[in-house]
Amino acid sequence: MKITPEQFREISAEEMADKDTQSLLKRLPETLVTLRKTSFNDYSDPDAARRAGAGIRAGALEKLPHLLETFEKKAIEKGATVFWAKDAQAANQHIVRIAEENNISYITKGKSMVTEELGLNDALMANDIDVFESDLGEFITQLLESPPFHILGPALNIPVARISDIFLQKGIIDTPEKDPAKLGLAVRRFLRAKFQHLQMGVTGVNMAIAETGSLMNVENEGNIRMSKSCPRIQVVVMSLEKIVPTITDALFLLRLLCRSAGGQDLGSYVSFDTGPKKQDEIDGPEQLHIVILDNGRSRIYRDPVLREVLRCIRCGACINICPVYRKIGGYPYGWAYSGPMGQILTPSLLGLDRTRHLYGACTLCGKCKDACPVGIDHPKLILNYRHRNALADKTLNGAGVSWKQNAVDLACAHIAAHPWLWNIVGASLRKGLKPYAHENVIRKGPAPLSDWFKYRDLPLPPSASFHSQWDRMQTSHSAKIRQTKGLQK
Amino acid sequence: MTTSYRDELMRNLIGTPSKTSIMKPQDGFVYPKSWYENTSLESSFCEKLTAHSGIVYRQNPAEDLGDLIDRIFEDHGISRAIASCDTVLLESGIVDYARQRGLEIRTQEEFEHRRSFTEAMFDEAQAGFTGANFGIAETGSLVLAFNKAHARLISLAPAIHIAVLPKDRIVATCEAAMKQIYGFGKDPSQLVFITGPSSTADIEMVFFKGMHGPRKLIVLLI
Repeated sequence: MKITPEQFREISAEEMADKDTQSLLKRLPETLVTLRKTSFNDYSDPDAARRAGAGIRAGALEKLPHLLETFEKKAIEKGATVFWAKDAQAANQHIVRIAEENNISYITKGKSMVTEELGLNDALMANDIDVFESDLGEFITQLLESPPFHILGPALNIPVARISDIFLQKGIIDTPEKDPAKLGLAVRRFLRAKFQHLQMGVTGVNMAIAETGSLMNVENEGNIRMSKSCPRIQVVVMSLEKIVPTITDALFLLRLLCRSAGGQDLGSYVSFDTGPKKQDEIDGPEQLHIVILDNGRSRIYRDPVLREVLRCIRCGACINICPVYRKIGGYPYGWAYSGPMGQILTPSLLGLDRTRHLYGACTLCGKCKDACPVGIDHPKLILNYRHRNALADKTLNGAGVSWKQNAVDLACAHIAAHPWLWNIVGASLRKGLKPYAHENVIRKGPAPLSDWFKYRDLPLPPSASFHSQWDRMQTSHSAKIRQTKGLQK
Repeated sequence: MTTSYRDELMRNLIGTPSKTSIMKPQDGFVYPKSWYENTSLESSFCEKLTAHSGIVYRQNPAEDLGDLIDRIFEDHGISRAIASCDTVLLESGIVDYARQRGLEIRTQEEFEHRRSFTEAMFDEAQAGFTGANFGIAETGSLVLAFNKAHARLISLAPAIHIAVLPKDRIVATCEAAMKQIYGFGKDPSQLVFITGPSSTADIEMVFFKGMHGPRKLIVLLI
């Protein structure tokens, strides 16, 4: 995680002023939301389908230890090796060791968020092993050394002219090119040479199926199939929650995943790998190495509230619908996981003290919760993070609040619990804030309140409280009635 | 080191109280309508495949298979192809028909080494010729299970993939196809659902075909 809370605000401001970012954000999320909604009409009861998705994921988590053991047993039976990695360092060391033992000079990678989480590219390159991202969007962001902008299209915000420039600079093309399809073709040619002589491929996984020991990947480009089919050595990194019990469960979630991600009924390629190639097969990997990654997830698992985070299938539906993401895009989140997905996942992995900006940047509108195909209640989790940060929760490295903030909070609680005090404070605030108003909006306040106004504006409160207005209305109302009755007599 | 963390992890995971109630999909209504409304498997398959930019050729009763292959090769300017040796393709006899007409088709059996096979797949073959284990009516997908007679790269590396699918191999759903393949002690090392050609829209949301895999997917229904 490279981004601090302060940088989050800075980068957000930059992105909100960036013409390209804003033009894309006007089109992309809404398009994907519409596609998703339309594709869910395939179900006669879309909500029931989502509830069933939630049930499968929740059920899988309930049986997680058992499913992991079954998966390991099946995978080993089929000829794969399984490595249990406690953290990023252990996983990276293991993968580097496999590469070194097999004299690997370069690898290709399928698009995978978990290897971003690991920082695997840096670990490999530090050991003189070249890494080629093979998803077109990832390929571009790798050349530009920029973070992913969106889960589906990591480089969608980059204008074609900039892509042409960087391709020229890196020798992917010889003359400037404006046609996206031709730029894509150039990458196809460049990477085909890599695939053809590939010795080791690394991918993530969408789901791991316990009953058969199979690994499932979904994609449209074919780069994952290439990274799995061409090399002698295949390495698959799966975070431990990726497991589902059966093929039937996987297929059910697959439908939800493809629809939620891009409004497709199915991605172009869905591949299932069960063990390495058989001896008599002419292509496919001779070795299949599976890395099962914890990296803090067992801690999340043990927490009864947070366990829900592990249901996530990384579809990105929450990202497209989020009003905050739709203003600032993917850069400010600063890690593999952006949008509400990142706001619930990253704090639990990295600790609350370092991720204040993530669970802070939320209006609790709940659109993400409604869009989620596996029933994650994002606002509940975000409120839980805020609460636990204020309480300096030890398991999540909560930072606690300053004595000043604490004093203010206690005072507020005391005032709110005593009506007479509330009335006095209310009346004096109504009077005291009036001079700070401009065009009926208050944007700054006197010393103890100045911090509060850093983040919020307040409409000018009416000069009388609701209670006193109500009383006045009642009095005049009954007077009117008396008057009317008197006239009738 | 491996085992030690595995055991530590399991100790951490096991015995954690859980409180989720499991709701499993049981009724048809939680599946897409196509899952249970199978009007006609063949027409649904063709319609969906076409919607996914696949190209369907149907053998009309009067037409000779050889003529049909000829037509496909001509339509798409193919002169050199490599074929798998899977049972569906062998039983159709298409490779023989094509050869009789002088089309240049090599089969994967002709390659002794992985290296020469890979080289031919990447540099030589304009099209890959395979059978398909199943067609899925729900999505218009092909199901390919790889084995010694069916190499992975044939449907992946060349610019065009031609798949032969007998009509009676079209099933309603993904589940129906998987049930006939897994669980018999011979799970394929890799299985893939192919739904249309390789594609991307990663640059400025502009969609184009043939990113890493085939630019064209042609399905020959027999």
